[in-house]
Amino acid sequence: MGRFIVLRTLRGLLTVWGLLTLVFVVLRLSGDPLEALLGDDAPPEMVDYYTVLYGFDQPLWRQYLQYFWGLFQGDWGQSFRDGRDALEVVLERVPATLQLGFAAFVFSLLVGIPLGIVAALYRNTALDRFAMGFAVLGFALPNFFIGIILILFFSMTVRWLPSSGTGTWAHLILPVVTLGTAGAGSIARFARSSMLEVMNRPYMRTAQAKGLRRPRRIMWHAVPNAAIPIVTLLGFRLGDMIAGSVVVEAVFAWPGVGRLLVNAVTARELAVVQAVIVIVTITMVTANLLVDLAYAWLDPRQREGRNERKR
Amino acid sequence: MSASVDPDQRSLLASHRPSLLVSVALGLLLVLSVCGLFADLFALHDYTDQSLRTRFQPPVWMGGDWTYPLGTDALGRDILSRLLYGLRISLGVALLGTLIGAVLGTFLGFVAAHSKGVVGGAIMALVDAQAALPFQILVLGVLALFGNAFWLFVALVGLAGWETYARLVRGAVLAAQQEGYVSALWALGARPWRLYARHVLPNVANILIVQVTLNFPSTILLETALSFLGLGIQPPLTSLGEMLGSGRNHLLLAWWIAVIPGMTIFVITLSMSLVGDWLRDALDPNIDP
Amino acid sequence: MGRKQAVEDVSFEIARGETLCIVGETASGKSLTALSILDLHSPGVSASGAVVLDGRTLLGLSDRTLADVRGRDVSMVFQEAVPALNPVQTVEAQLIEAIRSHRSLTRNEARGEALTLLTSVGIHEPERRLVAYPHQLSGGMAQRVMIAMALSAKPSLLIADEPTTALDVTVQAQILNLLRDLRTQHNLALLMISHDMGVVAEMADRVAVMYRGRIVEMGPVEQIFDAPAHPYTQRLLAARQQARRTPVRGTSGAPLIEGKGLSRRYPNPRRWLFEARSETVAVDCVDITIGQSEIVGLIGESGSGKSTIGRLLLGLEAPDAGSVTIDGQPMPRPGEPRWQALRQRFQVIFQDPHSALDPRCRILEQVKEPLDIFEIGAAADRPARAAAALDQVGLDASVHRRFPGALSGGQKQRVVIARALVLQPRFLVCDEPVSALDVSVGAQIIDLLARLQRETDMSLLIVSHDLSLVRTLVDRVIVVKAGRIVEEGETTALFAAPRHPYSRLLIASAPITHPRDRRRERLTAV
Repeated sequence: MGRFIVLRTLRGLLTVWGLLTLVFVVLRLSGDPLEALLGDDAPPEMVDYYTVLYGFDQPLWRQYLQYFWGLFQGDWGQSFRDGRDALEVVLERVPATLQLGFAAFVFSLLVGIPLGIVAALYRNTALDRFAMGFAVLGFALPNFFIGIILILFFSMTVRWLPSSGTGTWAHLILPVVTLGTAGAGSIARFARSSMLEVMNRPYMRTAQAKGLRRPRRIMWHAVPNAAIPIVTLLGFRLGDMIAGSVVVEAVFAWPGVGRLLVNAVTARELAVVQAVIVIVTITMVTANLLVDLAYAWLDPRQREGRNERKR
Repeated sequence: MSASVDPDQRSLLASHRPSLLVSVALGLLLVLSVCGLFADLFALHDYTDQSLRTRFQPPVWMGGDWTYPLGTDALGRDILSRLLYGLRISLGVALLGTLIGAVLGTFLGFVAAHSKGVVGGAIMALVDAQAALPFQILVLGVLALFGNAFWLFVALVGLAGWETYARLVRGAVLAAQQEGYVSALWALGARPWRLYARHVLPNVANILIVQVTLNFPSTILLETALSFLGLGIQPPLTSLGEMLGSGRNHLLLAWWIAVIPGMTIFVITLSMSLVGDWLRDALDPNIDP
Repeated sequence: MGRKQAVEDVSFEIARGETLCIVGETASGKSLTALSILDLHSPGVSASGAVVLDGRTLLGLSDRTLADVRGRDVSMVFQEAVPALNPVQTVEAQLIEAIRSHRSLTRNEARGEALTLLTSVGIHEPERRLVAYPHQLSGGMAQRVMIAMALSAKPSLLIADEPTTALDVTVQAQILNLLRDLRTQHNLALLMISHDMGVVAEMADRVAVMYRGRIVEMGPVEQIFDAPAHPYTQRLLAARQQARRTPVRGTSGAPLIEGKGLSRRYPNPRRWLFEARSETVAVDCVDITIGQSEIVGLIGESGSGKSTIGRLLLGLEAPDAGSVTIDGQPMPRPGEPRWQALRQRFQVIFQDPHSALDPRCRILEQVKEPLDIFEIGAAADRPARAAAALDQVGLDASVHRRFPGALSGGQKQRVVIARALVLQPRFLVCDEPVSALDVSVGAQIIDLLARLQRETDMSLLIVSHDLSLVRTLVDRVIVVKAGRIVEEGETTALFAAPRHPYSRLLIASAPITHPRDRRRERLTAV
């Protein structure tokens, strides 16, 4: 187990390092970044000023080290627009996104897992078909379109819920449903198939042969085993959730990181874009690390960090 | 005492003929592809023609007239014509993107499985890195740096799915290497290229076909989402996502401007998902041919 | 909608203290019959008829009512014990659950009971096993845990579905002994399902023979063995009691392959990042010689390194120490040109014929492929050569254009043999050639191998755990244990008077061929 944690953490750090390097390479080396920033008709003194300011006159390895040293110290560059620290600009948007993302994540779990389990238990019934129909719809409906349909109905036709902004619980409902539906669909599908797989395992027949009643067989033997693969899916879902929040925040004018990113890309605010990417990367790597640990903790076969019965 | 086995339970897909639903999905995809392909033949107007006098015309079923069967948008452009051209761009970009991802990913997957040393390790590290960052975010970063250009955008969409293919193919090749018949042929003296070409590729092909159909909806969603945000396909070109994005500002006045392209995207992704699911079951390698 | 009738009109009864064996081959419906008693089928299987236990009808009861019967009155033990245990729960949790679902004991009392049960099924250090997870148990150990669990509520009937099929012979003998003891001790009715006439001879009071979903013959065990009435029973018995093949020649032939001081180690994965790598020694300083046109048997249990020895002799793996010579020449390393040429003359047949053929390639094509690889003969002649090889193994033109999926296991193994044979090898290694096949089919494959050896004069190395197979086929036997050769000798002599204690245990553990040979003395592990 100790080896496992160390290895996974090292691998996570390596991934962060690799991605940061990639960001550096893409931002600094592909073409003249100043030309991209200032346009080719910028006055030479302005170009010189920025060249020195950003250290573009330094040798490459030096720039690379400075880049990491800067990141390490929390100096992630300035926003062009108001000269504020890019990190600060991003961090002040994080709580709103976390609120939305967390709520949507819980929503997709609460809807997806029970739906998948019930679909598996009542396989090939109307209930199953309904649940899987929902899952396919959740995947096929683009989230921006879900958002627009929801706004059309709940905000414009029956006028129950606000279509944009933040502040109250009512503001949260539509964005959360929009962001969580796709996740709920894919979790339901996955939960169903892993339940079906587990239900066919020999130990389920043993549980039956022991004289256990169906509810106990399902809750004590099927669900814990089916939960193991579902946990790994959650790590993947987080990435989709982050990507989705960009769109959903745009649709509902939610003042989070996603909307900031879209605006920064439109305005080509490189420092802000870079800060968002770095924060997302660290979040994802941490989340995947946690998922791996949870996986190892749930599955005793993984706990030893190796498979003894090879060969 | 007697016992009987319901054969339908053993393989629910004993007959792999497409169900009615899948047939309808296939039909819809065909119709939409033809519409996109021959957009210039079917379009009643130039899709960029603006006319301020005919803004916000409703579709025919809401009291509009046949000059603009699906109505007009905020600039008075014909929605039907725009939809046809949008289909062409969206389907085209998604198709190209899917192909780029599939070819690149398959190739790298084979390489990673064959050379387990530095090269394979590097490829798998790239796969890990790509999986660690939501691709949409990375695309936004690149677009911020380089600005938007059509072919850059297509290339980015193509890079979206490669790591899934690479992982799948590598896994399938490694699994095939463990198969009895591959190790038997290796023991028999068959060289690697022969094994890959004759015995591994045919078994990987099915997985690839299925992945292409399952990946296509994601690709089209990536393009439409970015275009929706105004960061993908740029006017004067149009795509389904771009139409939806520009239509969402007029929901109160003319909801159809956004809903018509939205429904079209939905029909495409839903049909493709249904076809993909059906193909996955029909081509299941566990069922003997 | 057609439903397949898998078991038809099967009737039998079983008394307390009695062992009834249902014997039959794959898909004969024997397991389905056993599962029907407790209605343990997967969805889609339905049973009709009547199951009566002490005057009470079981079949047709609801799952809730049956739950009280399962485990309390009737228990069941399955073929593969490790997967039959819940992988995420400890042995303790699973045992206590079984105990407490039928008896009102406190958790602590149940734990004490669990320890008693584990001791009674012959598990040493039961305290230590209680906290183990299933994957930490060996197959035999897991089967003991399953038996303990099955007996936890003192049932009157125990159903054992191929309980020892997945186990090594020595472990099998121990588990069979245990079952016999427990049956007497608890006055159990024991219903055993088996494909192995040896197990039947060992255990049964009465035997029911199943064939294609029906019981074709039933009676006391001596009667079945002495006077089998149904042709299928006769075939089953004949498969076991094959005529001894008289060795064609002794070991006088010149040595074809010689291995000297062969060792092969595999590194274990590290548990801690900077831990020194430990190694598993698969083969340890083995000297082995295969003569020209000799048939040698290599026997040992799983993990004994016997397959690795085969791979070393073939040159598919290189030894870490020691050397292999062929006709006095050193063995080339994988990838060298001479190695490639060697592949033509050294052939191997793996255990599982189902995976040994490409499912998407036609039969004739697959047999022809070795000729293509080595570019033997004109391309136009190759199909005819392949067809001749198929003919040699008893397959006619009707299979040529088929896919492997359409062939039976025995036919597939014949195709695999033909594919090896088409290159006219000098040396053929058969790694467990019949263990994936039904008994009567396996017997045919053995006959085929013996005949082919006579016709082609090649050398054969039979790697197997199955003593009866080795005994009937080979000239010389080599016994391996834990990577070392413990004994080696001419077949008849070695079986008559094994010198090493492990050979003795192995031979004593082998299933007997007739109930009269049932041994009374207890075997002890070495």
